[in-house]
Amino acid sequence: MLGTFRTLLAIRIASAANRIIYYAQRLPLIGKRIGDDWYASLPLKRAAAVVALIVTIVWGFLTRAWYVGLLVYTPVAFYGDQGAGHEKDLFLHIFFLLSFLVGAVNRSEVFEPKKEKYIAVKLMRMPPSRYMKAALGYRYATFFVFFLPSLLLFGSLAGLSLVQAALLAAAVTLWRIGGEYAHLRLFAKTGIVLIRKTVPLWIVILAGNALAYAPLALDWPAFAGMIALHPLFLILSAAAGVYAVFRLARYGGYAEAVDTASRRDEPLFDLGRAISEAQKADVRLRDDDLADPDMPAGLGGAAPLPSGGGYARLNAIFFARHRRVIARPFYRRLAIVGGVGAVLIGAAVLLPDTIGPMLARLRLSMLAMVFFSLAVGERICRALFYNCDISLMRYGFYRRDAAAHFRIRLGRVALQNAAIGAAVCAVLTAALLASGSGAAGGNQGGGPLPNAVDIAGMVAERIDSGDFPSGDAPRGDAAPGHPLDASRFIMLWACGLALSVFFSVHYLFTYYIFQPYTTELNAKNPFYHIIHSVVSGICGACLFLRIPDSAFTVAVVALTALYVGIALLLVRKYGSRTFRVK
Amino acid sequence: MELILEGIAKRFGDKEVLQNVSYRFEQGKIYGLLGRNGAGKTTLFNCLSGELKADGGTVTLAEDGGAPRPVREEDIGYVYSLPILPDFLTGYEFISFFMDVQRGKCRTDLSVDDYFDLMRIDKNDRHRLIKGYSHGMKNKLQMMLFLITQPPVILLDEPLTSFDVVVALEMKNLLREMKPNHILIFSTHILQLASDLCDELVVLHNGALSPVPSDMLRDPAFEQRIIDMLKDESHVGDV
Repeated sequence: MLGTFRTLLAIRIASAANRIIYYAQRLPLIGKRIGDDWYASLPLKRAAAVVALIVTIVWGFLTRAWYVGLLVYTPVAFYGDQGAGHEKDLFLHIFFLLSFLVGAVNRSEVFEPKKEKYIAVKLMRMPPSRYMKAALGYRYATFFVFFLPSLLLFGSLAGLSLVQAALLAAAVTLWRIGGEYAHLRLFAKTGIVLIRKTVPLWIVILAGNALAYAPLALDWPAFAGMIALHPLFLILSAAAGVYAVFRLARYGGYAEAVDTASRRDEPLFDLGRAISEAQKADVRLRDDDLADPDMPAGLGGAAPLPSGGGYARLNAIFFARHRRVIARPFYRRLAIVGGVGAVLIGAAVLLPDTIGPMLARLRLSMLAMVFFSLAVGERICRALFYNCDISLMRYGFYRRDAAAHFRIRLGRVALQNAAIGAAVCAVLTAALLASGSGAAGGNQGGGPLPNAVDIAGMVAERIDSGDFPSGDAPRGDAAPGHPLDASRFIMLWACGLALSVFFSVHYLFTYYIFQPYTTELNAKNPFYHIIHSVVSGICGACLFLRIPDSAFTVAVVALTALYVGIALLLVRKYGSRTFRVK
Repeated sequence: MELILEGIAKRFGDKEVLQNVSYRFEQGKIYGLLGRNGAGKTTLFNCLSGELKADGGTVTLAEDGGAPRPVREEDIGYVYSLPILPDFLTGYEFISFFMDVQRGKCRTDLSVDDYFDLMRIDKNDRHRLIKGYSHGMKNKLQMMLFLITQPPVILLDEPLTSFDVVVALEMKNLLREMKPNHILIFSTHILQLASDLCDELVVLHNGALSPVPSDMLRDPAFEQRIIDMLKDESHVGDV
């Protein structure tokens, strides 16, 4: 086992050392001094291996610190105005749901497809059970070691004692070993590899995350925090973990499990290619996309060519013939908004006393994350690249005219996002009114549900009387029946439409300026990733930051106007150079 | 008109693909660019067309009697070995789009259909999606773009390799018809095609361009001499 472990470590370190040399060659200034002969030089390779080992260890600690610090502790610290005891409960609540629940369901060392697994078992013919036991030993020994300092640091900041933090690290490690065994048992009994079942997996991920952060936004109790360090749960985790360690050590079915995990790689050999194939298939034009009545005469359809000329017609044809790729995500988003909206409005009408205060606490800054998740753009850019631009970018005239097609596409994407934005705003408007009207006696809980006309009538009636929910009221003050304020609705709609335009221009601008896609469709440009991570980080922070609605609205409208202006200017100036096949 | 290359250099990491490439290409001639796989033919074309930025050197165009001026992107027409065209358009829609956006740069007396007639593309095929076109049809469509805009320099990267004999003959005739008004340079591995169609041959070897004497084109031992030359690791300047 120790020998296997050393071999595994050698493979990992060697590939990490090669990666270090590869990326060092791309560094400015020093990169040019590092030649390809470094790969063959044994002393240099050894030095790189030492660096790789240190980087691997530091990386292990850093990723856990990043996770515990940013995803668990930071939201708690932002929220932490209710006493240290509450912070501790919230910390445990978020950590429990993310690490004990979501992590245990969506991570499994045995079933995760890895190149290393393929190399060790398929190419080097290592016995699967020897490989898996060594890999599991490494995974869970380092799991505890890497987690411990982060939990000690951030746990104590949140109010846990050092012993409690250490117990939590031990409990999560043992629980996850138990989870590993449960994945294997499920596979042995039913043949199901849980981490590949997209629908249940995403339900757990979304529900787990929503439940984890719900107490921050909605003043729910941090119920899971009470479980994590409960003596009974600690005993249960320890028992599950110890039992699983014994069972995993004697398990005889690793061969099938590893085979299933590495079979996925075999035909394509590497996962990167599998992903790029899947991404291409996702946006690829299919024959049935073209067999529709909008095809011009001679192609089985009777529609005339779209009017206009040049880029306007090209884009009109593109959007018409890629309806499946372009319009489906749009309708799906509208359906989600409609479904969630119907439930929300229904609940607001039936339970105005519960939903009313909840809605009154919503801040407009939370919309940033909602619109970030709902906006269409990335998939459209991918479809545009793979089905249209990848060929036309080769021609100088097309690159020179980047600003012309950018403007046309911005209009199209903004229109789709504005429609989604309008749906979100309409749902929120109706829910606010419905819950407000309940308390005001306009539509009592047991009465018939208002239809769209009733709601529109209520809006008109309330705008006339200036009777609207208060916008910037302190938390908890706004309640059904509170004098209503028309400005909140104006701000809601202004924010919604501005955010729709913001995300439209964001996706298209980064596509035109950074052109991140390669012919394999995997995004390569690091700036593109950095900008998107920063924007998603800001949207995430907006969930917790208490920005007054009026300030947020002014900021969003101004930023959007600025972004549109800058984007149009930069694409006109640099588009011909940046909008090309890499 | 002359296309003048002076000291073009390009390196990728440690590998110097083009070293001080200098040459003069004249209007009215078809040049065959020969070189082994990886010799840098496509890199040279990419540097000429502006797809890649050369590390050094200049590319200029001297029009009749005028002083040389830097080459602009629109001076170069580039026919790719694998024609890359937007699959979701019909051939007719694509050419019509191209003529729309190139208005002012193309002849006004010819319609979209006139160009299709020139290329001998059947009426039904014009209104089929490019997705369903054969390799030859796609290449014809690419060539059509240069018939429309008439760029002074046309680069063809392995253009006739996968054509059937009929299309290959059509394309050869088309290139001969276009020759008087253009500088045509095409890269190929097929020596037979090079000697048959080209007025001059240029060899790219060890990162440099060298002319092949024209009397060698008609030498019975031509093929063997070219192969010997390409195998030779030393520079080919002494050919």
